[in-house]
Amino acid sequence: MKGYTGKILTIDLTTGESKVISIKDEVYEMILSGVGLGVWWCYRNIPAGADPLGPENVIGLTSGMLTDTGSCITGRWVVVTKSPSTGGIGEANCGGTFAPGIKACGFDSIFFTGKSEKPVYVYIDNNGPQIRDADHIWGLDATEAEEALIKECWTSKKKPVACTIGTAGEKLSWMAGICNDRGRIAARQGVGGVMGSKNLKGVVLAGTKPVTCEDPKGMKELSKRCAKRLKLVTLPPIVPAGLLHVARFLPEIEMGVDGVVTGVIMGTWGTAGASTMTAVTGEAPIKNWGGSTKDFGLLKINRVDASKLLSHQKHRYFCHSCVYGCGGECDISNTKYSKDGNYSISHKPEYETQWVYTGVLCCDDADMMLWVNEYLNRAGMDTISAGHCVAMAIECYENGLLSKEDFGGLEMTWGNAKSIMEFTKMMVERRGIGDAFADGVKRAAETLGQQTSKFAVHGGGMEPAMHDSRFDEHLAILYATDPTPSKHTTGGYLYYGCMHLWKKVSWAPRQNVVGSAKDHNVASEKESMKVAASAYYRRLVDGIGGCYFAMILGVETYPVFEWLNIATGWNKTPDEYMFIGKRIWTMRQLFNIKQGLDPWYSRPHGRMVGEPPLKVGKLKGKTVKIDDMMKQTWEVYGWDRETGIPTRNTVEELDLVRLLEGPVEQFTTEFSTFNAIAKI
Amino acid sequence: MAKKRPSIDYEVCSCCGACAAKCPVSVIEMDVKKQRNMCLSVYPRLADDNGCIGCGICAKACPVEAITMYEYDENGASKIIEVEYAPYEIIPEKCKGCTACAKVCPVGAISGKIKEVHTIDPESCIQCGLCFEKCKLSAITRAGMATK
Repeated sequence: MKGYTGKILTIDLTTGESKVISIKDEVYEMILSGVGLGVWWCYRNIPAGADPLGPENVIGLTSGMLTDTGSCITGRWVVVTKSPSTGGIGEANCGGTFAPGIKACGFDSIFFTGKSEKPVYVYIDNNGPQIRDADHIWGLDATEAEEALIKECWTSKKKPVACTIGTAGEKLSWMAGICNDRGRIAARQGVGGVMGSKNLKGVVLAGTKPVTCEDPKGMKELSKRCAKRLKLVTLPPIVPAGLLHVARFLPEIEMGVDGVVTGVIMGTWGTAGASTMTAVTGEAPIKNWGGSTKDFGLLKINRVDASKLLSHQKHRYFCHSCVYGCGGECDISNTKYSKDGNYSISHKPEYETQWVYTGVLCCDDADMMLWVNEYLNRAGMDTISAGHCVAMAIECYENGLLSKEDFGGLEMTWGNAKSIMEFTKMMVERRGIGDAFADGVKRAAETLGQQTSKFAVHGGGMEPAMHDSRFDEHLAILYATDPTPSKHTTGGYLYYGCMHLWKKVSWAPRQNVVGSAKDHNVASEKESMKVAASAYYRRLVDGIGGCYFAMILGVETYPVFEWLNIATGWNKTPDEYMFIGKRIWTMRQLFNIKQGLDPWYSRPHGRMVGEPPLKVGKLKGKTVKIDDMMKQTWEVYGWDRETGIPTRNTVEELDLVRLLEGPVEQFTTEFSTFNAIAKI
Repeated sequence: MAKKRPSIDYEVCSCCGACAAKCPVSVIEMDVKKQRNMCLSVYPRLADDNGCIGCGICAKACPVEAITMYEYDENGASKIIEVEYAPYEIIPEKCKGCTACAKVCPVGAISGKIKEVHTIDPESCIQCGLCFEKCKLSAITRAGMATK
């Protein structure tokens, strides 16, 4: 009755052996559920040096600690595995309706290991798992496969939920993700490739078990308060997103606004609402991180901005238990390229997809971006990484490193929509030169030769998101020091201002409401403390199944600490919860160390830190002293200043030796073992 | 026989779909409706009144308490006050193994051989009460409630 089920399910796809394992309360008290539990299990069960696409890798689908407990905006599921693209811990999270499905089967997490001989999918209901043949859906895209699986498995009254991989996952792309709800995708870190390597096409969940917590009434009282504040913060759809251009008149003043204000933008336009502001302030990278608004100006931005997307929107939708509602369903049947694939309905592109396929490629064709969004959602490929690969290909072509013949006759120039679409298809299908780019820019540079690496923008093998690290040094530090490098949903100067952590956490530094842009460009201990606070807090939010946008509503509107206490009956202080966040953060770094990664591997690509600096635009002349900042921040995390390895003191203080290396019997009990191969 | 049905207060509803996701018989669907700011948005709707088993799990799942369960009988509707989480149990001494409860359970939480004592899996029980109503031997009980 603590919000979590206390059980995990492990399935060995090689042998079909399946185990239900009870996890002791002590583990939840130390690392929560969700990402903490996932990383802990992966650390203990993935051997050092394991091949990410080999049978020894483990992939976990985890639900949040507070999912389905009466809390709101806690319906995200996290995939945890060893990433093929970085070689370290791989994490990707996704909204939709899959997370409550995991708990409804009676588990906090489901882990897969081994490799099936032939394509299979796993069906789980109240009675446990079955491994079933998936020959008939292998080759379908993620959406088609999901619809087929739900139709096939909807044998009881309860409609099941499913996650699947698309063509990219089947072809073991390092940019592949796992999809649910017709194209919502846990995209990053190549988690879909890991699922594909196990010949696992999908997972179907049809459980109906209830989830309980200590005080459901108390949970709902807090949820109602949160929902009440957010319910009315949307504008009519006729309001143009172009209004947000006003941000450019505030070049030196930045406001750490009340996070609820972000609800106006998200609720009205979705995450794409941010594109106008990020473009004019310099936060959005342009022309593969080498350009400025001189290359992609306001007129072009207006052609692809959020108003354009809103004109296609049929209606808004919400993730499970979300009261925020940044998602939308679009009708793209009347766009230029919809006949290619016969697409009609699509998810509204979110900011990352929108910008990487427009600003980064200098292409103002919104119809192309809408098509690519649907195509990659179905193929199950990460749009951020794919967009960077296209940008790298264009630069290689423009600089004469690759020829028209190399691209099979494609004219790979900036803004050439047709070529961008065709090249994206080549990557998904691993056709021609697309094969070299299908595993991300780092691998492409290794294949194509050292001279192409200057166009391969990545940190530690992972392509960065559409938030420029030269604009905000907090982001630069987080891109560089996160054990899942180049992850943008951990924090940033402005985002920290929205979180209001100092109101609850004793050591979190205060941030003024109005500050100067220069404030976040300082490598000081105070700024590093802010970075650490948002990093630890983010791990808590991941642990409860929360959303980044809820996190920036502020700790008063989105009461994570209070919810945790009410759901579990614990009586921990916010400082104690932040200590749990620190434990999860450090555990992820220890996973990378165990897998043999040197923490310096995640140092961002030169373009991300202004080496050399840009000559024009808002970020002109800007260089980030990333090495000094990494050392400074590692020290604040309690990791060695020079090597980035967590110090002995830190590991002992966090009790991680016992948790990670102690006998597993201390923490688990085997509940039941059976063979899950379906006898049909 | 009185029937229980959810009533959704759309002034309070946040459209999050927690009720639809949790409904054990999938009779709540997400439909599209205009919001007060002119946006179209998804909303939950009881799509199949006959299919609804009145278990109230949608009301329990709703994070903002927008759903209230009502019991309808010949005198009209009366609001249901929910008891705290307490799964149903079978009293072994009274159970004759007629399987009526197992047949009516919508989530397959009841198991047992014919003419032998049945058991309810407390983890799977959604507390809908259909077995309680079906049992002619008053062999089903629940903490905090009197047997029939």
